[in-house]
Order: sequence, then C-alpha cells, then structure tokens
Amino acid sequence: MSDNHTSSPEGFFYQPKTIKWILRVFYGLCVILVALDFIIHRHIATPIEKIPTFYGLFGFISCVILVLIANQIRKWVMRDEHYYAAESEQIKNEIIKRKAGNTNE
Amino acid sequence: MNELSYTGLPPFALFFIGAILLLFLRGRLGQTIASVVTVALPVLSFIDLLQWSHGSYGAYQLLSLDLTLVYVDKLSLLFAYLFHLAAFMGGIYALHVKDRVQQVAALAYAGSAIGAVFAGDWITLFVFWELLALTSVFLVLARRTEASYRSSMRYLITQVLSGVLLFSGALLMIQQTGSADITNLVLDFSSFSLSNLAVWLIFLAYGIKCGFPLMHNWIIDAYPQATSTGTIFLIALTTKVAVYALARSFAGTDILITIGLVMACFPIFYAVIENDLRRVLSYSMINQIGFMVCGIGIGTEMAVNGAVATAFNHVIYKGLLMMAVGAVLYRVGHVNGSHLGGLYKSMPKTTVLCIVGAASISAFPLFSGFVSKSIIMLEMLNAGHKIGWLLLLFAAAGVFHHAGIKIPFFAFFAHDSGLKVKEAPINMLIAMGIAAVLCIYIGSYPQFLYSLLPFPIDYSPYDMTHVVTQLQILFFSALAFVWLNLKGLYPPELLSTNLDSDWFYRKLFPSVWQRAIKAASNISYYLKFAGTNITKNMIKTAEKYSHPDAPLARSWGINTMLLSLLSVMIVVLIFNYL
Repeated sequence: MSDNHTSSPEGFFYQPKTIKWILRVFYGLCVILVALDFIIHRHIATPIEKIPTFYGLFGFISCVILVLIANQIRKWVMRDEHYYAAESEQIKNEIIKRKAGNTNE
Repeated sequence: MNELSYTGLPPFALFFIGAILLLFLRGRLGQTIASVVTVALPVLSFIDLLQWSHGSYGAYQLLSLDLTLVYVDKLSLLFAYLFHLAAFMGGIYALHVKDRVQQVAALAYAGSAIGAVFAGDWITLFVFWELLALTSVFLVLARRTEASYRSSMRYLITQVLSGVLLFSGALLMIQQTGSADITNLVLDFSSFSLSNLAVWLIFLAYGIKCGFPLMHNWIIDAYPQATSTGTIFLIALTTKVAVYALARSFAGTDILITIGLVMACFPIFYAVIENDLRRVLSYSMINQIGFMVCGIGIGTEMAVNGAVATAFNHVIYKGLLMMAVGAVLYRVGHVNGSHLGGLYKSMPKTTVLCIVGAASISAFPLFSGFVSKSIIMLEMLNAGHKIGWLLLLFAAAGVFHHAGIKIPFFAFFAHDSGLKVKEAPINMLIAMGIAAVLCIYIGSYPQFLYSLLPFPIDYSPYDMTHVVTQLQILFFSALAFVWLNLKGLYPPELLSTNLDSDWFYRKLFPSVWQRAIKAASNISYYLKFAGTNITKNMIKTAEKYSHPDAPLARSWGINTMLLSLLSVMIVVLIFNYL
C-alpha cells in the first residue's frame, strides 16, 4: 500500500504508524466478527450457511477470485488509452489527405 | 386535469414550462433567475405532486385511440418523487454552471422522465421515451469535446433505436389488442404470433434503456463523457425509467432473473480494472440495475418492493458517489485513478461525503443500501434460486470491492499524487450533504422508504443475523483488498481502454465495412479494367483488319464476291427447306 516508499509523503494517513494502527484495528474487528459467529445464533436458510463464518469466507474468497479473474481479463481486453481515438485520428487524417488531394486537382 | 393539484397542470408540465422560460432569459439578471428556477422548480412541482391521488387523469383521443396522459398509483408516484429529488439535488449541484444548454436540457430531461412514469398508454410513453433521449443527449454534448460529441451520437442512435422498437411494438400491440393501455405483458418463447412479436419488441426497447448485457455499452460510453454536473441527471433518470417500465409490465418474467444475474456479475470484473472513476461508477450502475432486474424477475410483491426500494436508494447513493467524483473532475480536470490520490488533504469534506456514499452502496448497516438490497437477496432464496442467491452475494461483495473501496481509496488516499486543489464549491457540498443525510436517514429509519413502496411490506432489516453476516461479508472483502494490495496482486490503475461490447460497433463493424468497401472498389476497379481492356482489344482487332492492306479493307475480286453471295443464298435455301 502507501507505506512502500522510503520517505512517506506528508499527511496523517501516510504515516506508517497511522497505517499500522488502522490495520491493527481492522484486523481486530475481523477477529471479533469471527468470534461473534460462534457466539450468536444465526438464522439459517440453506445448508451452505452452516459452514462456520460462511459469510466471511465467502466475502474473502470471492473478492480474491474476482481480482485474480479480473487480472486475467485485463490481458485480453486492455488496449492503449487512445485505442478508439487513434481510429478517429486516422479517419481525420485520411479526410484531410483527400481534401488536400482535391485541391491539388 | 386534477382539481386537487394547485396548478391544474400535469405533473411534468412545470418542468417543460421552466425549460422554455429559461430559453428566453437574457443577461445577468436572467442568469440569476435561471439558477433559481433550476432549484426552485423541482420543489414547486413536488408540492403540486403531493396533491395527486391515485387514478387516471387527462384522457385524450388521438386517431380514435383512447390515451391516458397521467396514470397515478403508488409505483408511478414513488418514481416521480424520486425524479423530483434527483432534479432538486442535481439543480443544487449544478448551481455554479452558467451554461444555459445544460440548464434547459436538465429541466426538460427531468420533465420527460416524470412524464414517462405517469404515462398511461404506449403512445404517451413513447413520446416521453424519445424526449428522454433527445433532451439528455445535450448533457453529453455540453462537454464540447471531440470525444463527447462522438459518444453522444452513439448514445443518441442507441436511444432512438430503443424508441423505434418501442413504437413498433406499441403499434403492433394496439393493432392486436385494440387498446393502447399499458398492461402486464407475458413473454412467450414457444409460439410465434404478431402479439408475441409486439411483446418482444417492447421488451427489447426496455432492455436497451435498462442496459441489458450486450446492450449496456451506451452507459459506459456516454455517461463518463458527460459534463460533471450532467452525469448526475443521467445516472438518475433514463435507466430508472426503464426499471419502472419493466416493473410495470414484466414483473415475474423468469428470464429477467438470468439477465439480472449477468448484469449484477459481469460489470464488477470490468470495474476492478477500469481506471476512469466515472466509468467504474457506470459499470457499478449496471451491477446495481442487475439487482433490480432480478427483483422484478422474481416478481413477488416483496421482490418488486425490493427492486423499487433499491432503485430509490441507488439514485441517492450513486448520485452521491458520482457527485463526489464529479467534484474531483471539476477541481482536478480528470478522474483517472492512476493520476489521483491523496486528495483527502485538499478535499476533506468531499472525502467524507464520498465515504458515506461508498458505505451506502456497499450496504453497511445504518446506511441506505442495507435496508433494500437484502430484500431482493432474501426473495431470491425464498424463490428457490440458490445459485442465483450465491451469485448475488458475490455481486454484493464485488460492489463493496470496486465502489465501496476502490473509488474513495484511489481518489482520496492511495499514493500521494501531490495534487493541490481547492475543496469542492459550496453548492456541490450542499447537494452531496443532502444526499448523504438521506442515505443515513433511510438506512437508520427504513420505515420512511417502506411506506412509499408499491406493496405492503413486513420486513425488518435490523436483526442480529443480518447485521453480523453483512458485516462479515464487508470486512472480509476489505481484508481481501488489503491482502491483495500488500501482496502486490491488486491490478494497478493504468491509463488504458478496456474492450467491451462496444468493440463490435466501434471496431469490428467499421473495419468489416471498410474492408467491404475496399473489396467492392477493388472489384469495380478490376471490372472497369477488364472492360477497358476488352474494348481496347476489340478496337485493336478492328484496326488490325481494316488498315489499307488488311483483309477487310482489301478490294475484293468479282469471283470472291459472287462466291460469297452464292454461299449465303445456299444457306438461306437450306433453311427454307428445313
């Protein structure tokens, strides 16, 4: 994340200390949510929900899969920023050429 | 019309009157009045709208057809309230804009949307359907760049195509049934008849406006090209009119569940790799409409309630997110994630408001998404679609990933871009503030929204299971984001174009067309070449045989002439005897 830089930029959220604490609190909340799963009684509508912390696992795994697939899709669909603009540029040039040709005639 | 309303005018009329008035205002005073009108008019029209009660009003005849200008029930009223709200927020957000084209277009556009949801018959609906296209295109054109011009033309073609399909379907429907009233329609896959064709045409027309898969690209193409203020109106109106129309006529159509699931799932992959943040939000919009389409497809009263509630909340929280990104666009001049970051230092208020929008779209407890999205998911499960439910759960996690985390993170945090800009203008902050307050209000007090829904509802989103499971999904999706980022697996923001279905009509068809033209011109060239060659050769041959010493030019002797004459006569004689 943003603490990769050797000299971190100014600003509260860029201090390595702040980031460390934010992540700690965040991990702590994740642990609490897992613990809650065992403490409270969840209503269950489908058998798959019986898996402990099903929702947490599902959220984590689906997001990882989402990003991994998206990375693969990127290889297929990513083109240059001006991919479509280049086309119109080409057409424009052709028109200019044609016009220039006409005036020469 | 309706003796109960103060003005006695149809609910959309004030917007059109305002738009026409704005056309004639001139000078500095005129500009001030125009700005006041864009904000005050939705309020006045809303007060007038509150006087309307359920029923049909404004019956008129056209070519011996009975038409209904205004049909009021809970469903149409809810959408009309929503569009008034959107016009009001958009008006405040755009208060600093002095561009009269945009002001007029926005008012007329909102009026068209309101007219469309109140239309009681196919013909009236068609008129407003086309007006939606014609008025909204100016919000894209008003950006006044080459790219936005091209994009707006593609947008217009798609929208008008949808209108033409609707009109053909409507005419066929009227011819078959004899009535122009908008009714519930049933898609039939097995038989081919004219009335079934009419239903399919109308379904396709709705599908284009709604952004069904492969027909969705106009959203991705045009919305990010519109002006920073114009997009706020665009995201609120056109697609929601389509959702309304689907809910009115196609509730319970099974295929909508499949279509909705595809819409909810495929855009999130694109949203993850897209760099232009307004385009990310456009993909996210298709994903959200996917949820609504699923709800309409399930078709139970509760599911339609869920779809409509999601539409209502969506306009507010997606509007809020788009406004925050629009403020960045206004201040920075672009919204490329690759070149943003660290803006929380210069735009702290916008940052906080954006996070409220992000929390709402991700359905955090106490924010508006939480009270509407779960209704659709619950109904999906109740209807026995377990795979569908899992896919929606996946889509919900994906929403948080790309709209909830990616937008605020890459715009306002991430790597420090060093950009030093001013905070968003005060009017933008007020508009975002109103949206944020509504997000939290509806999220914390859902009964307000539930009482507006078309069907009675008995649902309480706040129970322990729902809160904990939802928080688990969200926190662990965020954990995945953190982990992927720390591992360096998260796709970096890159300046790029991602191919989507528009590749077919922007690249493939033009290139096939160009090749066809080239081939045709080649063929015509060869034909011409061959033609000239043949003629040339004929002339050459004729020349060869007709110069002074050639056989044709030689003077013939009498014997030869008599011989040839004789031969001809013999041939004639033989033919005579045959």
